[in-house]
Amino acid sequence: MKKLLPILLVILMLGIFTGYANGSEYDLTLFTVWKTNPNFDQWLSGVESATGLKINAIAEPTDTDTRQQKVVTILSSGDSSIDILHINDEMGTSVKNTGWLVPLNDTVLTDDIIGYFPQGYMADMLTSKDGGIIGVPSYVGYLAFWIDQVKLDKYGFKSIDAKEDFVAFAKAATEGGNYGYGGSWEKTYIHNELGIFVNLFGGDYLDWTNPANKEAIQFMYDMVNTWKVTPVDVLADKYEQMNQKFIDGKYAMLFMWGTGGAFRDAGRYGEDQIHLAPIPQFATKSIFTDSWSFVLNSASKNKEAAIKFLQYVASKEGMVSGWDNVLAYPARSDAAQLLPDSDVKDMYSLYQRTCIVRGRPMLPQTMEFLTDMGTIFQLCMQDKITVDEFCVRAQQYVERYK
Amino acid sequence: MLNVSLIFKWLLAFIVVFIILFPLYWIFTSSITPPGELFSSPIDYLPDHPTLSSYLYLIQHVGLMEKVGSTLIVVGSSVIISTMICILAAYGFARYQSKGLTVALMFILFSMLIPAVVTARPLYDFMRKINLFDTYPGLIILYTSSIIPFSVLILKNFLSDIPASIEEAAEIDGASLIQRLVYIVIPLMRPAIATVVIINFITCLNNFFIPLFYANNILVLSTAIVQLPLKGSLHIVQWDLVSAMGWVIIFPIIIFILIFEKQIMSGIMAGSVKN
Amino acid sequence: MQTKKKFNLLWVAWILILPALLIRGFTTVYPIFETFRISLYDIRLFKGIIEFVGFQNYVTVFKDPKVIASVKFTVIFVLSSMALHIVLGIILALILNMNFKGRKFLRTIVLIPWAMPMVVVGIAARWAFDNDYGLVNDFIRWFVPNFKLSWLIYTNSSRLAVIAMDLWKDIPFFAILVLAGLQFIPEEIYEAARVDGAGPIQSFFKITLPLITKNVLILSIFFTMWRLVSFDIVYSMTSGGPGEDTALIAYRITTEAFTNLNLGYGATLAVVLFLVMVLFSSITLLWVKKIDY
Repeated sequence: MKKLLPILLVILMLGIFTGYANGSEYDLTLFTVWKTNPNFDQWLSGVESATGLKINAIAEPTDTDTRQQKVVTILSSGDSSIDILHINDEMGTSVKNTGWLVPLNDTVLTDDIIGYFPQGYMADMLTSKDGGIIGVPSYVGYLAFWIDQVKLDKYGFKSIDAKEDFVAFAKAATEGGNYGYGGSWEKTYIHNELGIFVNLFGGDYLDWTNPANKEAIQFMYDMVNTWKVTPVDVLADKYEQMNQKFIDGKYAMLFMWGTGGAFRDAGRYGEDQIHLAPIPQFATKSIFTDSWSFVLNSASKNKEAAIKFLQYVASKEGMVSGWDNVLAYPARSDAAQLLPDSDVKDMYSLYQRTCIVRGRPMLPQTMEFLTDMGTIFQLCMQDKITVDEFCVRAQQYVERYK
Repeated sequence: MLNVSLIFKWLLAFIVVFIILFPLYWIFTSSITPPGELFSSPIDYLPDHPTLSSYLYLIQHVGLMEKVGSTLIVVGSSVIISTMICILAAYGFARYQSKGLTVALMFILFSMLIPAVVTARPLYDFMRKINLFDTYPGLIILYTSSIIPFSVLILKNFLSDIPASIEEAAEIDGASLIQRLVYIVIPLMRPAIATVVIINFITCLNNFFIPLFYANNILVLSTAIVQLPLKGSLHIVQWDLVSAMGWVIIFPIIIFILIFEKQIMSGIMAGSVKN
Repeated sequence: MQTKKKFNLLWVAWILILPALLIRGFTTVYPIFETFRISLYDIRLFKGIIEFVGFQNYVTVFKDPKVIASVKFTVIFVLSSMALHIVLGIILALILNMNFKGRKFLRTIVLIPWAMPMVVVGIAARWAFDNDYGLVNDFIRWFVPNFKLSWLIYTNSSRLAVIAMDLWKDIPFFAILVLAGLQFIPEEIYEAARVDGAGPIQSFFKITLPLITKNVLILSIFFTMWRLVSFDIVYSMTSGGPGEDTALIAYRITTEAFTNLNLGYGATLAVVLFLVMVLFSSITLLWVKKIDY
């Protein structure tokens, strides 16, 4: 009896192995962060029926570290088990010149439609040295300005149009344990806001000898240490914590990606509560756009199917389906026009019309660059190095990671 | 006098139990608190509106059953296979002597010194080359390897303490090696085998490094906690889901311990003394 | 005659140990050699660089501030964690050894931290140490109202938090192993001491401690080596932050190898770590052999 048991188990396992080894009835394998979205299956069946493909969708890790490692490892090792990946800007900039992705200029992002995509962003983020465009943006997002109307009313402000308003409002709203400006300044998140302020002051993130950059850092330093309109705790916060505090009424305004899903869930979204607002004018009026793009693995064995998929998601119907199912605001301006009117649509169109829209500044060795910048920023905010010292070191990093 | 000492003992015990159980309790209450009420300061330890919605969300959108299945296949197979080959190896080391064997044993034991990080990258590239990456057999080989030294150590030491007389008698009676192994040795080793199986089961369940770096499609419970769904936006993972996932992992472990406490304790202690 | 029989059948022994030996060897020997080989190259996959540089990586390693920071914290971590392991571990072992009704329950509860994956502990800890919503500050506020501290943004407090979580998870295991040693001390010795008028504290220092010292030392060696290669906790709890202040060396290595794709450099760090481990275990084992009476 005791002899039989192990033998049976071995046989059972062999059976399972072989069963799993033959699981390839799919035309395409998709590695995406949308997989865990509740409406994902709907979106996917839409894609499958439009393209006639059978798609195996794998969930991308949601933890940033893990995700970065997985994507980078898959692409760098020529892992052919994954055809299409869903990657963000950080990953995009680091891999676009490596040859691990297939350029899509002739097959998907052809001349007739490329004009509808945000040009600056496509050039900065998704175009390789050789001019190959390696990804299809799956949505367009803005690092938008959000205000809590409750506080705006409470402190008697009508709108935040310029830097002076920004500072005044921040100061007014800082009382009773609450703060005027909320941030997500954790080591790997700060680069977003750092970039915004540098842009708002008219500086250049990749040139730290520019005096406007120094002004921006000084401004942020003042927010924390001089005017104290931002708590130093933000140095530990990622978006989860920052948003929660915003919802709880601890902040009056902040910059955040997305269309406010978290605020809606908490019942705090609305004209009279938390909502999008136009970017205030500092030296310039500047806004960041980001996206997650679908890219094609050079090692893929299913390139034809992959191209079909990419053509669909780059099409107007594909984009609208993205909005309908997973609230992905279309990256194509013509597709965006097809959406029903909404506050999001209005504000996004406003941003496009009135602001300088840029992709976030990134270098090939993205993670190291942004991590190092985050580290010295924290040192500066905590008074361990001066603003001047920060600029010197920042410039060194730019040189090193180019 | 006696009373003071007894009170003192209970106090110490209480402190220990509190330190251990309090955080677990917090994780549990977080998992049954509706998201809107989750972040309150001070913490509400008795949620007003307990709900299982986080757990339901996990089951619906995380493919929990699938992950449990994968975990059982990988962990179960690894434990079974490694136990079998380590019983054989333990017998070889315990009942036979030679310089070469000693070297081999030392090799296996000292290989515990080699941290997973040192071998990670080349092993990853190698597994990919021979197509064992992200496969059940591949993962099972890695898991098995990770628990071989410990198993061999425990089983061999146990066996060394058992006199070979019964086996020799059986041999004289004409029993073959296999018969001796199956009918005499293995039954004799049952307590050690039970211990090794139980401890290895836990060790494998908790292994995070291997499934993280050596698999994509195959998802196990320990890595599931870094792959939780994004609700609402692409940038946020919520504590209510994290805590629920945490308890999904913790709960079976607690049950497991309650059932096997005796074996685990005696196993850990036996292992240490033989050192 | 016995020896002759064993000698003839030696090949049987080799067959018996072969599966275990092969599997173990396959996953350790080849990768180690390969790691060492790669460490002699400068490989930066993002930039497409693969070139032979000999021992240059080793030179860079000793000057790299990130590595130095990692090493610094690794040393701090290992030393303080081990010191507390020993002190608190022995205390816990004594508690577990106490004769009272709740003993079985206590021993069961104490197994839970050991049985949990470190990842879960780490991720929960990330939230637990949050200033506003975390468990730790909430608890402290029971005693010190208005206590505020963002644990994970300051170097010292985040290091403390990491060490604390490592202790929480690991001390029970250490304590149980010490407990095993305690079991072997016969009750009679304590009886005799009591008769002679020795109090409990004296008993501990003069009887218990000397008898378990060797056991504790050997355990400490293993636990120290396990601390040296800690990875899970940093990964799940702090991602090495703030800055690089809690980036233990194992975390640094995997970051270089799998995130930054500086394979050659990562391999160099791995080799150095490996040599440190070998050195440490050799020295301590020789030392233990010496004090073995």
